Amino acid sequence: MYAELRSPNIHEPENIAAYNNTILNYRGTTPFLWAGGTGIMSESDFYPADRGNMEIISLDKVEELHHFLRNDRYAEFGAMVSINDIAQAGKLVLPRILLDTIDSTASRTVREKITIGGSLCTRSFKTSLSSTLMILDAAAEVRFLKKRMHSKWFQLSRIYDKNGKLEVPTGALLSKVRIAIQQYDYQYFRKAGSVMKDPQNACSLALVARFESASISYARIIFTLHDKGFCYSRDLDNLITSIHLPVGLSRYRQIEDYIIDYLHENFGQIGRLQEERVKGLFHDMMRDMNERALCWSGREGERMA
Amino acid sequence: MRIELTVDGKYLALSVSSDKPLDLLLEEDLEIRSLKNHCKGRMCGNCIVLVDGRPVLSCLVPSFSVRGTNVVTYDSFSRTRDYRDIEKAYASVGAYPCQECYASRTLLIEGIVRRYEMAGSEIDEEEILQEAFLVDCSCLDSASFLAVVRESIANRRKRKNVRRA
Repeated sequence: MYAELRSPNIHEPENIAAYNNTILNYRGTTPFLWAGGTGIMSESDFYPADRGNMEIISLDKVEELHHFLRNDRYAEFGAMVSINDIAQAGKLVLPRILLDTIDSTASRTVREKITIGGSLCTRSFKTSLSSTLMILDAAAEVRFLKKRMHSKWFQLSRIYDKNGKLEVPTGALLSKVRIAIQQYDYQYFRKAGSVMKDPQNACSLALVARFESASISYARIIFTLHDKGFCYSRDLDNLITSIHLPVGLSRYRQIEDYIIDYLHENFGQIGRLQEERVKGLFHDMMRDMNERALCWSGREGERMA
Repeated sequence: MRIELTVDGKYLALSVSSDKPLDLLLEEDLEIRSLKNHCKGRMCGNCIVLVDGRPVLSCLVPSFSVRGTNVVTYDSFSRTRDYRDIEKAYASVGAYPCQECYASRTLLIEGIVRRYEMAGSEIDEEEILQEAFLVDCSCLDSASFLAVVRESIANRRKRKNVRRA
């Protein structure tokens, strides 16, 4: 049916040096970097494509991108490691919130195809994995062409703009992701709706926090509106950081209003369902936090007695 | 682009567009009728095939990445002994998928059975329930799906053990 269409050229470098050569040979064009393909293939206009002269660089055979290493401080994954392998390899050491995020991503059959690099670089929607990695202060190695090939480590929060758009040079390759091995007192991840089936209404919430008795001494929170971007700000972190648990209704309303205002300011109009889901996720999280705080204080009281 | 692969036991060399999704390749070029529709990666789950023994959503797999692989569709799988294990499980549980998703669900169950048959480990119910939602059809509830998977694994292990003995 579409046989007359021009078939894109496929390049399959076997190592980073070969990849660099391919990029240098196609300087001036924008080759398509192909990781797992789940994101690209789900774009409605992917096939049959109306763009001509497409060059696809498949990263599947680049050996360096399949490596992962771990030491006491961090785990480092090549961009082509599947998220299912990450969950299995890091089950005992990676932060619980990251494993929860991966577990909530599709089913194992699909997770085996999704790569960590690909899920950080999707164009048509934002993934929960990128937002969770952002609050965990993960870093990514980016290789880019500037007369010659350079590589540089960036904090993940630096490679996205405020709307969640990737801000890396054209044709850049995200080659490694480094995740610090540390646990938090409180880690929370929930999502509402399906990213693939209904991204306009789906959203997720991730939070990590440390406590000092009944106060939050450190918190990082992020909302992901999968079709729009990330809701992530230092002000919001500070609002959460200063709270004393259990949170009263007025303080709860104040933070909720701030979040909704932030979303409207940054993303303009958002759907009613999505807004309600954001509120619902935040409400559930605060209830869970309050419940835990009351449990702890109950135990403390028993110990004192 | 010329690709060589094995589909349902037949070695084929095809000339296709390199970015053509596998489900369209099977439907249009090879006229395999068990694949129902092309949802363009919207996760309807009705295009599952086995690639090198693992279930994949064929609408998410481009032609260039299946070079040299062994693709099994429901058409050939339904003539194997492995299929009988799953068919028996449907009968003993008393739950059957609808005509729309029968092929995909059966291949999905086969993928899960192979995972546990090889590992010989305890069944992870949560993982299997997540897999149940991969096929976007409400004809088979989660509990029945889980029961069919358990029964299929038991059938497979029993058959393999009998053969070994």
